[in-house]
Amino acid sequence: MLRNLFRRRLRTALTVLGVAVGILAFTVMGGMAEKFNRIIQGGEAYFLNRIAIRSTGGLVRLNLLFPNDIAIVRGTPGVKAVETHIMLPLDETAGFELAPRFLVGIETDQFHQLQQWAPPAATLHLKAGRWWAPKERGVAVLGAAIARKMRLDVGDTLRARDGRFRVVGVLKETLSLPDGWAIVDQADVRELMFEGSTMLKSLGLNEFYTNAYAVVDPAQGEAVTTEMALRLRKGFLLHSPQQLITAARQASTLLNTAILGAGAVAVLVGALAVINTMFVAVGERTREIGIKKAIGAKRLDILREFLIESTVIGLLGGALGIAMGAGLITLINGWTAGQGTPVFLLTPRLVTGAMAFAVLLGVTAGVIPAFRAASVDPVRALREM
Amino acid sequence: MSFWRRLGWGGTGDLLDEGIDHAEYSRLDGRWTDGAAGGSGGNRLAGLIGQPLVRTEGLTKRYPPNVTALAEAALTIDRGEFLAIMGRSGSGKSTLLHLLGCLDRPTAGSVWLDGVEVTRLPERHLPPFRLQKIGFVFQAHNLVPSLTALENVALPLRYARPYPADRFDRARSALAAVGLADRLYHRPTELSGGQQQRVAIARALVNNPALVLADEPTGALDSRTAAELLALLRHLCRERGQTFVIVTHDPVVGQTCDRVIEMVDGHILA
Repeated sequence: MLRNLFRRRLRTALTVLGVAVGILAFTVMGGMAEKFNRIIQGGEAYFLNRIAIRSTGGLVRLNLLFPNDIAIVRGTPGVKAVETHIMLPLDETAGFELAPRFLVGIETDQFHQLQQWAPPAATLHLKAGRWWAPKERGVAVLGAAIARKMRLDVGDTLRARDGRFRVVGVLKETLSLPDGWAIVDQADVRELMFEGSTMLKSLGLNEFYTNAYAVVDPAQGEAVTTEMALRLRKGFLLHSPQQLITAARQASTLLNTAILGAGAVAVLVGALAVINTMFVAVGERTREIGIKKAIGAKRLDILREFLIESTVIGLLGGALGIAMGAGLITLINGWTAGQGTPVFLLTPRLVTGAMAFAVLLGVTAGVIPAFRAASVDPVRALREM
Repeated sequence: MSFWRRLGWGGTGDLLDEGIDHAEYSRLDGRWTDGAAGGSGGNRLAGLIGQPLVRTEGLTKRYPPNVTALAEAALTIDRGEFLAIMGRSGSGKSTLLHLLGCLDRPTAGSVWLDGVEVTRLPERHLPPFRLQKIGFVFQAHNLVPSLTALENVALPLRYARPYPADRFDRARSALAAVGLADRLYHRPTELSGGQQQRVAIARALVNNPALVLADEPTGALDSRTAAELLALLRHLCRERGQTFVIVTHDPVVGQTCDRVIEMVDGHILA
């Protein structure tokens, strides 16, 4: 019975293509959303037990945190550990990137201790090379994306902001923010910033941080955040774990809604094409249906034949659409990987979802035409010679 | 099981001697035949011998607002008859054929077929009933274009439940019986008009139905091919003991038949 599909090759091909284009759009949009979702998930895992602290500035504060601020953070009851970063955009000309590139100064002597507080999803792992020795100067461990984009490997030299760092390690891909980080000892970044800023020099400020994270028990997150805010002076921005996670979830929901919307449009367009094709097929085969009924086909037999036909159209369209989508994603990813980060992520659940969408489309679009076919009156059909 | 053979009405033995002999059939047996004919296989046959295959009473079909296509038709067709229904177009002969074939419902009156009052069967029982009891041959474009001759002939068996495993063997025998053993894998467009009609006849026979209804089977054929086809039908009727009812407006066809029923304006003349 599937031969009917091949009887009208061009029409079937065009309909399948219609479904395929819809599914292609769905796959590509979905691939982008999946990538964003992964980045957000990575951040969510990292911030699950952390309060993020930043300075909002004031004339003299320069958006920096100073040792006495850190001491207050550390002294707040409920804080188990404090991680400090000095983050500097790697190059100021960088445009929009999914994982913006930063030179990140950490306390290399505290790193392994602090890693213990990170949830498994946010733990960093080496792909090649080694970590820094405690307080080792002039060496960098690179995130996967930065290494790829700048074509750097263990033993190469990273030039960043007038500084030169020997690459000693490259991280495994996290699909999250650390992919864009070049992680070095804090003293190195502090020195670069100090040398580059007349303001800092004139004020003689050589002990500072840009970000601090207080590790807390997630259950106490809100309470500790409130207490910490009271203890710090004005001019600080604190994000409790809940706030960060809520923000992440909102972004996630927004993206998923957008992709579902795109999916709905794809389904609608594809479904209309299938409905149209199936109606034409029913009209064209009215006599054939009449004969089949005369020789003993039940309503259900006819219904099934047409439903199978439209389902196969959905199936073919889905397979083709996913194949084209995967091809396009691979192509664009290959191109953007050279620029830093791949933009799309093709996950098994996306492929499964797209295929399910396509099949569902075929079935639902076939229902009305199939019912019309099933209710063809054999006497009337046979009279139309 | 071929009760035709058991009754001594011929049958070639190697050809289509298995009717639709599955569960549905035995269900038919108990449920759809009336009391006199009911009971187990042997009794049922005994009860049916001597009964006409088809009987109609007061069969009427009206179309709104006031067209009477068929009026009070009373008709009896015996087993093994080769019968023509003749009349001009619009005389109601196709309507009668559709009613006999359980394709249409009468406005009034009844049809008994093989002891079953089909006009009282619920709608959902009609397709399986047609599948078992009736074979159809139409004027032209009888075949499903996307299927080969063999698949077209096997088509009715595809709708049988349970699915007969030997449906292609049966279809092959049926095609052999109409002389098309060498055209099994041809598509309808690759066959001549006469060959297409012979495929349609093979399809009508594949179930070994009691009644074969043909609506202008020679209408689209030239006179020589038509004569050949008619001879084939005649031969099959004699050979297999099945009952053939042929609707036609061609007097030549009428002359070949055992009996001719004339129709004028929805009335049976004689």
